[in-house]
Amino acid sequence: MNRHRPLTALAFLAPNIGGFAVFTLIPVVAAFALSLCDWDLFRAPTFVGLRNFRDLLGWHLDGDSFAWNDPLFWKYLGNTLFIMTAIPVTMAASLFLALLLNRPFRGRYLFRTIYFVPTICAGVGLLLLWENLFDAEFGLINQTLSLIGIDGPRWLLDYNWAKPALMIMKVWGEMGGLSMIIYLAGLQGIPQELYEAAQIDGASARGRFRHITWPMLAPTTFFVFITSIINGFQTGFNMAYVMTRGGPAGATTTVDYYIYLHGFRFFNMGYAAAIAVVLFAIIFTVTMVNWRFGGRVVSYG
Amino acid sequence: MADFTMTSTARRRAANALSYIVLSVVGVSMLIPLAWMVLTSLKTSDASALDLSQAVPQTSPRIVDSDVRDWPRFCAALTGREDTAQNEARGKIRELLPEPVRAILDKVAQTGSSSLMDRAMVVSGLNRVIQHEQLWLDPDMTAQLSDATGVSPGPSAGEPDEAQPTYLHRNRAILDALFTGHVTAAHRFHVENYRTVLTENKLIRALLNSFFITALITAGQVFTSSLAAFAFARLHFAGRDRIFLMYLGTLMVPVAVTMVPTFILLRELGWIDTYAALTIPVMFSAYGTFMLRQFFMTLPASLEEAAILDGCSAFGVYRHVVLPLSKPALTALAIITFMGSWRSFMWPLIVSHSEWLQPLPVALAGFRDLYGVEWPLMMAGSVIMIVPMLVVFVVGQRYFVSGITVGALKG
Repeated sequence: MNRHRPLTALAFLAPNIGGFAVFTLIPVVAAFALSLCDWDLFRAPTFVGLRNFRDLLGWHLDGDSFAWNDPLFWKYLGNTLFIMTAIPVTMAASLFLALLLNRPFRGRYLFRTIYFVPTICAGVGLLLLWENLFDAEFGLINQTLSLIGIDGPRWLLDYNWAKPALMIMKVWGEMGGLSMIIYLAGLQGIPQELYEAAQIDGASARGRFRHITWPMLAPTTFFVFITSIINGFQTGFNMAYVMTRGGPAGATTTVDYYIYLHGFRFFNMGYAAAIAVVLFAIIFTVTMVNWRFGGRVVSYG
Repeated sequence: MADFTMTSTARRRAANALSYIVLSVVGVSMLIPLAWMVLTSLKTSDASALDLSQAVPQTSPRIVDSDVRDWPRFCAALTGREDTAQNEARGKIRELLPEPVRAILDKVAQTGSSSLMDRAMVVSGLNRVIQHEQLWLDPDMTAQLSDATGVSPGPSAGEPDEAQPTYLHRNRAILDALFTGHVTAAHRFHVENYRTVLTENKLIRALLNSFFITALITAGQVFTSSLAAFAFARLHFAGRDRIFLMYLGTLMVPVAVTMVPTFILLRELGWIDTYAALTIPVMFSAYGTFMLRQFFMTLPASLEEAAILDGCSAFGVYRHVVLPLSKPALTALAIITFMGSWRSFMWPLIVSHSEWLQPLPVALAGFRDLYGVEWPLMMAGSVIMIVPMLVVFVVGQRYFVSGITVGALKG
């Protein structure tokens, strides 16, 4: 093969990689540097070493009892993880829908398109719609519940119900979306002969799913799971900002929103960067652990 | 039931029916909230309009300012200056109106001009009568009304019942008959909300901003990504695949990490609150490069070699061979980029503070803070934001699905 001169390649790469370096690479490095500083944007930044991380992750003894230096961070990390428990539910629903759609029948493309509509509509408009649906008095959900005699909770205004409400919204919005499409593609990649052989051996529908479909889909499940986890740690800002302002009493504040609050509300640029660095570390670790152990679990058994 | 067995065809048919039912239930549950949004956006702005029992807006018998076609004529009709069959019934309404409102009717009918205040007084007076006063129309009058206007009085206008007088608001048809020719039927579906949010709440500016910003980002991303993808897929240089993998690895970096430093960088550049801040930082995408590279790799090398033998430069190959062959992939990337930037919220929120350059999502969120309870207006705004995405999806669906599965299939 002919080798091109490096300058030619550089010319092609320059616009993209150059912009990417300025607006992603340098900021990543800067985020690490910034996390070691104290800066309110108005005075000059001061170097404070690891103080931000000590304030964020450290603990002290309050009298005799243990106390986090920043209990809010742990609470908001808990919120983030709580909302992420919707991921397995969404994935199960996506797989279920994909299985139903993975047969030739009239209208399957129509159904697939309809299921994708919430993904298409996602954004501030949809969040406002859900705020309306969850309205305690006039919302569609509580009015429907009252028809069957149930006095619905106050959803987004109720400390205990705000997170489940957001999870309901996420499952609704995502079950027919990317993961379902990816599952459908995965299902279409399973060789039909396997099912024919199983049928000859007299395998039941459940047996075919357990011994063919599920193992053959393992790489797909793994891919969907990892991407959902990575996204899961980074969601919540839009929901919190538009629908709840992180409330009630911080029930829906996620790590993402906490970074925004410190960076752009309290102007603690250094502290915001420190939280972001910790978030990065969490995502990086989870991904590495997933690849390490996921590689063993995933097999074509 | 132990000996109950079904033939295999019957079982398959039952399974099919069941799966249709499940699929339909899920499908309906996806569409109902969106239908609710559209219905709400077409209602008048009062709390009762959100009642589920009145989910379809046409049952709300109210008059609003914009429903009236010609105010001086409308007022003249209510003062009894028009000699029509409706006059007797209108006279009854007029008697129930408070004195100041009657004075306004006279004044507007005479001078031929009405102020906002006049109209508000008349509308609220009329609505109070329609909602709360008892108004009994005898069968003769009802028949006259329907003769004169061609509007059928409907079932409840039958026998007069002294014990149960007919409230006017219970009989939509009579109300319509009374005001036919003066009040548009448009008040049934209050399309007016869309005009209100676009003009009075200045969402038109935000909508245009969104189109402008999204077009720039989409063009920029497709251009820079296709150049880089060409280099990664078609050129040979030292360390190519290693650089590509590292580049791809940066997809894992959370947006939150770069958000604060990028903001500070733009602040130093003096770009905050400019279109530059809204577009340039998001024009460079590792994802787009990855997607196009995967596609460029599948193109046959023979065409490219022929072009090189003919004396084509690397840029010539990119421009005249690769790009024309890659229209589906380029379209897919353009659609995905459009969707992403149209709904993008956090970054525009951080870098745009002036109303005149905010894109739609940011403007909508600000609008919500001001008018949180005005659901019909809010929902009209949401519909305005969502419709362009649906249109792009419907038009480009074919490309879209192939585009988003690229990563998953290879990965």
